[in-house]
Amino acid sequence: MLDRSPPALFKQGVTAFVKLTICAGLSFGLMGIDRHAGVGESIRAALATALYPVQFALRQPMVWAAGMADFLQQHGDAITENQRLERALLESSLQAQRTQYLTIENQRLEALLELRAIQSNHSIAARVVAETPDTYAARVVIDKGSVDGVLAGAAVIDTQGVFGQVTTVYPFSSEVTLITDPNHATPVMNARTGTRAVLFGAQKSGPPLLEMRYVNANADVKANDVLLTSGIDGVYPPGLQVATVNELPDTLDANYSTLYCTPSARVAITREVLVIIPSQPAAPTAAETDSGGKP
Amino acid sequence: MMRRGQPLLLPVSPLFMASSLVAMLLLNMFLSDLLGPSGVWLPDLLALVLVFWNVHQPRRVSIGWAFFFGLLMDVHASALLGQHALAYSVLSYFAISMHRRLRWFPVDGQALQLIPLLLTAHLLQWAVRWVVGDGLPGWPALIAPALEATLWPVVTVILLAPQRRAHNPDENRPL
Repeated sequence: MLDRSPPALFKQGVTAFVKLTICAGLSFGLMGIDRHAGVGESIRAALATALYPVQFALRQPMVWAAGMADFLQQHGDAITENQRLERALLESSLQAQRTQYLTIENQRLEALLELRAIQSNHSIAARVVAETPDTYAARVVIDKGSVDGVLAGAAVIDTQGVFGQVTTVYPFSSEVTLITDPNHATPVMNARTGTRAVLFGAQKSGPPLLEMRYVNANADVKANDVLLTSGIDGVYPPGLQVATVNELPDTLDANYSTLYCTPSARVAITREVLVIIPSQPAAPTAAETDSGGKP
Repeated sequence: MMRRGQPLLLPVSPLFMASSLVAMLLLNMFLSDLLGPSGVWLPDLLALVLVFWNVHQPRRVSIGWAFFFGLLMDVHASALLGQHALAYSVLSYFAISMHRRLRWFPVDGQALQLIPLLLTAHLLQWAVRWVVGDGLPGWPALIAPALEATLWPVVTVILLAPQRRAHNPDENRPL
């Protein structure tokens, strides 16, 4: 067949359409391998490392502003805060002493029953430097990365309870997916009854909430029940406080109903967190695949 | 061919072009860090400046640049890798294909014609995340393309200013 279009008057190189096809193809390719195979993660890590100095510099004004706000806090506020913290320290030291005793007792009983010993962990203190701008996910950036020993899949807690899980590790920073992320699931156990459940982040505006889905009409759940990590996921150490159950509706749905829980961790305001590194590295997405929360 | 009454412009400085793009990338990063996820309505200034250079210098700033800057935005926003890159590439392609027509219109007319283009770039990102299973971003996200179109005249004035200087600099004349 004859080519009837006239030849180009000016040589302009590759046409825009060809360039678009190449770039769009590359984009779709990247979307496919992002957060799945090793290649996507390494491209992201390489670009993130290149961007890191810039991000670090840009985040300094906010860190300074936060420090300044702390500095300018009223004297009286500081005193009451100090009193509160001393009281809390006293309470937790009492608990810690009891825990020590219980740990020893537990070890003896476990040895007696020949149970697998509960792993001991070590932890890394980190600071939350930013929220990620992505609207669809609840994630924050912390200032410790693989150089400091942070591993993907490690659990993150604050002073009050479970905060989230490390999902992406860069050399000098990491991304933590909060427990309030709609795609994140936390296996929990009711401290009162011992029943197990899975909490998801709730997609609701307002204060951060967690959802307990598919609750039976005759389930034994009361308001203010404390939910602890069950530890069966192998990611979160067992016994950390996750949430308390909110007020229940008068009647539970005859089929399955969804209950709302308030996270114990102060997910929206905490700046200091603790990354718990398992002594044996957990599979990076153990919690996510266990729950089937992520596609 | 040029519109009647349009002034002759000096040649653009490649350094100014590159630095304006980098500056907008930094500004985008700073603003999105400042507001976090609540900044859905923020105008994407980097996209707007990319469109500007695509329209005014299509031979110099092309789709490859858009793709590269998109990738950087993806990594910074911890979004799906390729989400911004795809949107910016498409934005850049349509901007380049309409650049001859667009320059015949006054600036406010240009802004009006850019609304569908800018909206498409955002729609593409929402669609990609929706397909992946992340849901929709909510109504405030619609403010972003409108704000971008509103900012077009401002961007035009600022970015064309260096080319509007006199060709024969004179010490006694301010500009």
